[in-house]
Amino acid sequence: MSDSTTTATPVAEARGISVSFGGVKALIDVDLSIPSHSVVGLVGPNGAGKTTLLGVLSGLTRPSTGTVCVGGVDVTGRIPQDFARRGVSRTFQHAGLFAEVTVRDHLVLARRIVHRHHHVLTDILGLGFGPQSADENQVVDEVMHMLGLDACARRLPSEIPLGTRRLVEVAQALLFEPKLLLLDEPSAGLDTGETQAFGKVLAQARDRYGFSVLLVEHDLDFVLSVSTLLYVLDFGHVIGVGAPREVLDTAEVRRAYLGSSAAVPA
Amino acid sequence: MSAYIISGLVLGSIYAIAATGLVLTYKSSRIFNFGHGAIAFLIARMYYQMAQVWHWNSWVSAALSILVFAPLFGVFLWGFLFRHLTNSSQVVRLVATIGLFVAIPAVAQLIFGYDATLNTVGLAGANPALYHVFGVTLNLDQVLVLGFAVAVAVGMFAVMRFTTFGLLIRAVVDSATVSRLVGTDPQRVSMGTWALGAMLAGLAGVLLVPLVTLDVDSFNILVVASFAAVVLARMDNLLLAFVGGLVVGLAQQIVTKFIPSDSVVLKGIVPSMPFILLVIFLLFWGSARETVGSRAQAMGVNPEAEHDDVAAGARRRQRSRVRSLMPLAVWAVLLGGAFPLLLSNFWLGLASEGLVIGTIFLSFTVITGQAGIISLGQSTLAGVGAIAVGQFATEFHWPMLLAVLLAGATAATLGVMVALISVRLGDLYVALTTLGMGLLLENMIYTVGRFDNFSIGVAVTPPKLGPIDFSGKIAFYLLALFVFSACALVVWNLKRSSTGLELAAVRSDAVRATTLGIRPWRLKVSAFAIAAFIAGVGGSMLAMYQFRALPSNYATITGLVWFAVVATLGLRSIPAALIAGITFSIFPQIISDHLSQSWQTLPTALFGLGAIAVARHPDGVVAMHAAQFRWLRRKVVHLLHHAPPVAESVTEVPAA
Repeated sequence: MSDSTTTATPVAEARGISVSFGGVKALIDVDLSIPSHSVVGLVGPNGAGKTTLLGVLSGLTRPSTGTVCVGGVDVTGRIPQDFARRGVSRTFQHAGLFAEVTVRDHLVLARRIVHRHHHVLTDILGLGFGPQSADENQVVDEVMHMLGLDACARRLPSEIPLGTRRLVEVAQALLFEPKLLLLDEPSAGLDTGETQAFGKVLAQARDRYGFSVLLVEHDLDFVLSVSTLLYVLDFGHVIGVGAPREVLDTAEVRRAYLGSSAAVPA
Repeated sequence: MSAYIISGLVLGSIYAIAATGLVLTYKSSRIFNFGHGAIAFLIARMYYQMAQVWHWNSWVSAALSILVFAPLFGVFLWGFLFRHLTNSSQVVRLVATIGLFVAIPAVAQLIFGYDATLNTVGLAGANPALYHVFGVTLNLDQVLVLGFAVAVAVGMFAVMRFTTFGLLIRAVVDSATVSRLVGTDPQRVSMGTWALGAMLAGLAGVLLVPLVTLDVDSFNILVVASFAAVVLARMDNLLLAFVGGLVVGLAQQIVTKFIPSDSVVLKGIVPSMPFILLVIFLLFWGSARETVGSRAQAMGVNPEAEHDDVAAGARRRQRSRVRSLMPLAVWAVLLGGAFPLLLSNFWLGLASEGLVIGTIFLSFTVITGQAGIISLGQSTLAGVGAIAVGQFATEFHWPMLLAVLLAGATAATLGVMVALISVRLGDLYVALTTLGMGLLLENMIYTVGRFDNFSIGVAVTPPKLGPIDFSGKIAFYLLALFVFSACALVVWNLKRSSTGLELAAVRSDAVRATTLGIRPWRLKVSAFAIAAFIAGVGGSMLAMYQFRALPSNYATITGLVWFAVVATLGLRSIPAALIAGITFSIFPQIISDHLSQSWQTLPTALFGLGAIAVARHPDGVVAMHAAQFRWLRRKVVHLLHHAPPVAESVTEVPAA
């Protein structure tokens, strides 16, 4: 993909990030930069600190040192809502959807948070709603359709398969018109076919809306097939960064991550 | 002074024993048992039956009730209730144990009858021996309390430290999954702790017998007083729970020494001391454990199984506004037109009461149904509304409409204050704070002479509007119907609005909601305000119905029964609140019309059992039957039209 070469302000940038939980150092002096219009892969063995780094980039985890910039603005230490407002959307490895909200309402909710400035008082007096606006319906339906979610619009998360739930998460994230989408192991629990389908839908959505993606993933085939830049974490350190295949070929990464004799997947 | 210390230690010992039992069961199963006091009452009542009604030897009676019956009852409760709550949400767990709180004493009274339980005698017999220690006279009953407290402390320490059972408990507390993998059975350990917990409750109950009158409310209040110790122990530390119990008892007795006996307001402090401590502990000591846990879970650090009680009723109906108003219109015609014509004055009066109480119940629909917060202080907020309407309308002679709105606003202000201090603490602590605040206000504000007015309350007369006098049965009924409908409209608007959607998101997963830019804290405080306003308005209407604002009609304990009724019928739905209100006013009347005096606690027992059943059917009775009704309607429509069945399984899931 040619847009990986864009050198404008990065969508998000983390510098010198360290995080510790009690005595455990989850991240040590990590630098990471996500160029605009790119898909950045983030891989590493279990416990390397990948999810923690996602937490830092979405405001859920406060780094003990280091700075986080979103869209060129320093947002270190801000609350998650501020990250969301600046265009950072994320999905979760677990517990991804609201159990009591239907699929379509997940999207409606996102749309309203971004676009409708409602107030509790007008809401309870019946002034804050009305027929859903044509605009809202159109945008929501378009995303539903693009991700193939039409059939399960009125289902609850517990009633749809895991792969579909992942798509709903992405769909909801898209409604925020994100500049950066953080995906936490989207392929976990999916079979090869589902993963490929997921990759395809993701690519379509990116073509349409032009956001960047930070992809935390164990499935190396999937990472290699979609990312333009790869970071490798191990024990809280960045041990490799660059073009995906080249990074995986460095000796350090092979030793730490794949075992010395393993081959990079074709 | 030493007299106060000794009596403080005696009272504190009982708190300590009760608190130890609560912490033990909470540790092993993560269920906070609001019914602990009810169990204490049941065992004590049983002891009383054997020792004083059947004249058995008091030690034999105590041994049978504490060592045999209590553990059996604990195991029974575990088997039939607690075991099934393992994967339930915090709200369902609390609802179920509040059901125990309501049901057990009522059932006990059904079994043992309503005999006056005066002249209760403790283990030491009718004329306990007297001892003189440090210039203080102690009777044998008090000495026994202190002795048992020491025995419990030493015994618990030994069990936890030196026995296999103690080791198993500690293992299960750390990780139920891992201890299952290494071959122990966490469920059996949990069963054991519930048996032990019930024994400790029973011991506290039997020791209380000579100290207080043997009635449900005083037992429940005394055990609720031990909640302060449980909070001090952060629900976790047995030793701290024990010490905390002693501290609460000491504080309560020592403060008596410094309070002038002629001050009515200050006298309220003595019984409220445990709740003052409870609130203080919550504010400065209550850990944010729950919040931390759920955050870890959301980040994938500690994935837990999803709760298995997600309500299918959560599905928002995507109908047009007109279509959703249709059933409401049918109800309005039926309630507004048919009832006043069909019912006699007597039953119409009860129906009015039902509507008024249904209005108060709508506040549960908002706070628990929509915001997913258990507030046990709604009856107190209704009481504040009643007090306020009495003052504004009767004492200040302001117009009634203004007085009712101000009553709602007063309650809302108080609700926001409670929300501000408690919402950040997590579900369980909110329940405890609201309960503590309720009991605190009950002791401090309800008793003020200006409000209580020699236990008859301030007179409140329904308003006149031109030629219409709302004191008339039909006119008041229509007024009550109007107020209920107005509040119901507010709730209905809230459910359908963007705010309702955000509340549903926060209810499901507050941490994830934050990452979307929702502010759960602000939403919950708003929900508290709305619910408190509705409770205040409902409370002032109840005062109008009763022609007086008598605070003691809004007791916190009554509020728990109210909560059980709404939970039984459905916390989510507006019709359920209405049906609950009408059930609450009419059902006891039907029982007393048709059954003898000894059955008068049957309604309460059924309400409590209903709340317990919520553990299996989180949506409540109304939603359950609504699903069946819709199914039936589809069948009928199908038969009438001879059309092929409509595949609606996607949209309507029948109740499991």
